[in-house]
Amino acid sequence: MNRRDWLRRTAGVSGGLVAAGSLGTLAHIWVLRGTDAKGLTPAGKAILGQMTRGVLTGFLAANETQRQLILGHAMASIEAGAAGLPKLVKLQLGGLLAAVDSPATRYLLTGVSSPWEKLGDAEVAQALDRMRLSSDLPTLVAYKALRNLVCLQVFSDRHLQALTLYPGPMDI
Amino acid sequence: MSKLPDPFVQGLSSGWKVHDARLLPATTLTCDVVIIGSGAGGGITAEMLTQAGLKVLIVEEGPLKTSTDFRQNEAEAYATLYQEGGARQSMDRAISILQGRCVGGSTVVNYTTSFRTPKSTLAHWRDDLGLKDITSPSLQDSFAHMEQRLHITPWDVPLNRNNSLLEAGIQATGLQAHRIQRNVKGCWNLGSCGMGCPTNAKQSMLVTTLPAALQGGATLVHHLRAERFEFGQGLVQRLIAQPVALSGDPAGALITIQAKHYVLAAGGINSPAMLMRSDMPDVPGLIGRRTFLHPVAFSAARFDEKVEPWAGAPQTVYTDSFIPRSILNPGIGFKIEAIPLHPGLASILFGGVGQALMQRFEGYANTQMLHGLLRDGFEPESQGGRVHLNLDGSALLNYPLTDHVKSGFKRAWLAMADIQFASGARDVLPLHEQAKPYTSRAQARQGIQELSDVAHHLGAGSAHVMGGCAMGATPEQGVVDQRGRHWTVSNLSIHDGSVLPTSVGANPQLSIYGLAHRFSLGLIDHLTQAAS
Repeated sequence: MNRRDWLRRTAGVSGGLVAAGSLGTLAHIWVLRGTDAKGLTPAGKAILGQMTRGVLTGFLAANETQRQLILGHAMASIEAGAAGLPKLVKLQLGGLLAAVDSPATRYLLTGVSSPWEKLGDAEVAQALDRMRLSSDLPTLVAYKALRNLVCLQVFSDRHLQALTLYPGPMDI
Repeated sequence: MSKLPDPFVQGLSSGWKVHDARLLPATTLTCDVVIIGSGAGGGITAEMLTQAGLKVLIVEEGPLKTSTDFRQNEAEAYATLYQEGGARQSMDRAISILQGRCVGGSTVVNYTTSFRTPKSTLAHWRDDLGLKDITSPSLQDSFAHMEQRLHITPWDVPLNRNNSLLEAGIQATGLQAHRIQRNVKGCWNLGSCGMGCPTNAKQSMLVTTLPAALQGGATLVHHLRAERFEFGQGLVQRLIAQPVALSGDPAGALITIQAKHYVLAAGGINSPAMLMRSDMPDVPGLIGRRTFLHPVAFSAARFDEKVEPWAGAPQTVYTDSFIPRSILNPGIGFKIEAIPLHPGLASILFGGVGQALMQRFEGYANTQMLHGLLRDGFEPESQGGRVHLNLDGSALLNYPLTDHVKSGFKRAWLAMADIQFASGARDVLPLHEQAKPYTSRAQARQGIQELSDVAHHLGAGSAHVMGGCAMGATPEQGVVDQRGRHWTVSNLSIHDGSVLPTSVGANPQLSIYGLAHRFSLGLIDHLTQAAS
């Protein structure tokens, strides 16, 4: 094999691998899509659950039962919020959640190489914090979208507002 | 004090013509004037045109929620009363935008802050933009009329701590503090203005002009989005409207509306988007351009004493000392005010996640929040943003935070830190992603200068959407003329904040009321003369 043939074959194989990888990633993102017409899919709930424990680290009780109670209530609020989004925004959110979940795009967007469920709460929070301070536009957009969705739904919820020591509105 | 009665509950039982579009069959509705949007511009116009004897139909995309539904609950309020469930943002998500979407529009959820259009703004419009008619002294008559109609009066109740600290800080730094007028009657001082007033004290369109219009025979159809105009012979021939669910998704058969005149009052971002969906003739290419936001920089300060930033009338003190350009204040000017902090909004503004967010909430009850509201649109470097259409026809705003605007953020943070330290703050946190709580003025000055210029780090927000269908002195300079009438389509007017040619430089509700009042006087003349 001469040098030119070798270069051609190498380029062909590399191109094929990149294409296969991209297709695989896209297929994986489709499988992991985070929303459907009704709201969050099971995959979407799972990944948002991971994000939520990162955002709320510090607010979560040490007691496992209470911790699960807070996270369960938070997820119920987030699910209700996601269900009320317009169809196109749901689609965009679904794609974002899948991208944050799928290994290749997760690494590109968040710098995290392990599955989220293998990380502790503080590690998820650290990953989100790195996204917050990034200067990379897709990472910042992903961070803002995920953090604001979680925060707005969780801290607007009358029951969860107790986490902030807010006494509630004046009784009329 | 007593909770005022809910005018809608009484009115609906007395036979007001109010319809949920989702329950209507495919139909054609006719009227003299259809008004698209029921906020500040639409509400004023509806009352005046109805009183002039015209058959008025009001179309509102959002739901009908009244004081009976307002329970001082953030989750309910954002989901039902705000654009995109309170999550509207600029296209790149660098700016959060709070804008109303309900019967009554943003007037239902604003903080009641009422300023006449500042003289310096009117002078700029007159001298630099050639808008000599609208800036004439007669506009002041419209402001005076609206102040009386909407009970805009000085706030003579003791200030809440959020605002009294601001006043003390401004005075301690040798600047001028002023009190803000409010459109309230019998206010309970609850501080829940942003969630809809549960006592009907706020004199929003929901309890003033819309009930008057409905009582006078107008018709209101809510959950109905104006999809597009159809044109023929140089006129709007009909409006095609789509019933929508709370999510904004289609929820019913298209409705056609035919009117002699069409008034667009859907507000900034939405009005230009409506014209773009309609393929509106736009030779100068102005529609959607120069959309302004009063981009806002936030500064949180912690005090040893309780502030309880959720309690009491939210916005009652301001300083305009940083509006004029000077050696000390080059570049974009800004107004400083306090803002209320309920937990949902606080969580967005505080920034951070995990322990950092927790620590910011630990000092929540002792936190005062100020904002510097940047006056965009006055300098060549400040061209605002541009509205685009998303794949589904909904509006998107591309608002680049330019170096000019970013430099204003830093000056606003510095000015707010000075004021907050002068009033005794223990530490001050500019809401920039890289900022840390600063414990002295010197530390703040150094720290703020070192903050990055990455747009997403600035924590920018907005609650004032203006421009995009600017009025101009000539057809080349504006979408509408100084009477709010479209330059080439004679049966189309625009009566909302989208006609503003720059930002106002002050909270804009009274500016929009005044303009809508003046535009409506002219429109009534035009329509009643045409009829006779």
